[in-house]
Amino acid sequence: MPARVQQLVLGLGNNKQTAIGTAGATFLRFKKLDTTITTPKPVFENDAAEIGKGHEFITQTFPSHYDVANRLEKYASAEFTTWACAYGLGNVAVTGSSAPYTYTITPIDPGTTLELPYFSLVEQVPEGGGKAVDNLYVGCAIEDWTYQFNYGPGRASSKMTVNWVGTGQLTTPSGITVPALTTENNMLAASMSLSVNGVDYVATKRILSGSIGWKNNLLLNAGFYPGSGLQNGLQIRGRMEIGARVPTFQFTARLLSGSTEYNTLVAQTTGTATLSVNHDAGNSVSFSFPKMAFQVVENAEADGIVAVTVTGAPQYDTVSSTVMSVTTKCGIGTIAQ
Amino acid sequence: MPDLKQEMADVAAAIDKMEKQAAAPTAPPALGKVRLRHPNTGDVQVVDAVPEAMIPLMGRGYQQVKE
Repeated sequence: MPARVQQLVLGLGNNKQTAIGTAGATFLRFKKLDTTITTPKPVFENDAAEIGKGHEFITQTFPSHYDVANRLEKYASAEFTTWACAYGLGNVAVTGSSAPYTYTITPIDPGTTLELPYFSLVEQVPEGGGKAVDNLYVGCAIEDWTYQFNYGPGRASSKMTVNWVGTGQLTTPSGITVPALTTENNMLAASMSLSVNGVDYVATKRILSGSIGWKNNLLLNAGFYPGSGLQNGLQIRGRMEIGARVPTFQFTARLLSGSTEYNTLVAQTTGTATLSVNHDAGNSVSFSFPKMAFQVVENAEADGIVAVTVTGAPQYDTVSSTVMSVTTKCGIGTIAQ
Repeated sequence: MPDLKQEMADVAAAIDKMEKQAAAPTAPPALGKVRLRHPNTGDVQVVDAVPEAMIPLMGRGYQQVKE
């Protein structure tokens, strides 16, 4: 009997792993929008290009490595956005003795570590009394996350997308009992406040859409170091270090006669940029850039209305010692702990 | 050679002292405060549990001490 993709049971590591090769024991079950199911892809190489065989065809294959990666596309809830930012940025502090807990999240300082907290991820697809898929991926890290907002009704106005990478280490069957679905508190874009370089884009009803992102550019090949480990004769990664990280910020707003975006670009004026969304007082996310200049300003149109699209250039701020930070509130107090 | 042995013993004692300090039980911070520790230097800062106070330290690598 075939299985429907809606049956996918997705469990994301709640507490961080104690070591890259040690599976996490606690999971948060989430729904998602994309229909992808992760494949534990073993990669093999062959001798087609080698000379001395008398022909150009394959005569032998060789195990190389495991390649595990996938994406998670979701409506932005306080819980999932906290999870994504905590594992994607890496330095996480949780305060509060009871819900709602407050998370203060900054990018890891490369002077102290190059490795993000690792999480485990489990996927199960029940089928015919058993499971068509039942894989536990151990030692996963977030390659990038993107928060997107748009004008329009509903949860689609506020989404969060994550791309994650695994070491290749997996356990099948997983042996994991995934808990019940996490109760998520979705944050609609209608709750947004946005202030950039001294301009309140919500009060003036100008803001239309935009995104905030973070990319770790993980050094994936360097994870296959001598001694990194083998699984079924294929290499697995023993580490996943950050590369040159890139924060991004882009937004589109209606263009008015007094719009300052072009002047801000030309003058390379810097200021703070803060975007906040919430479900209620106990479930919220606030992205903050302490020092933002504009990189590109382009005239645009949306629904026939003249607009301007701004690509920001987040700068490292020596006062707050960071390029961006995220502060969230949600009812789960153990994410990445 | 005896000097070298003594020097090595002193270094070992200093490392042992530093590790014991890091692992020593301490009273939890006052309500509304959070303890942040730098993993390399061992420096500990107790600051208000608000992002404005925590972020400048966390950006420099300080990590929350679990009480």
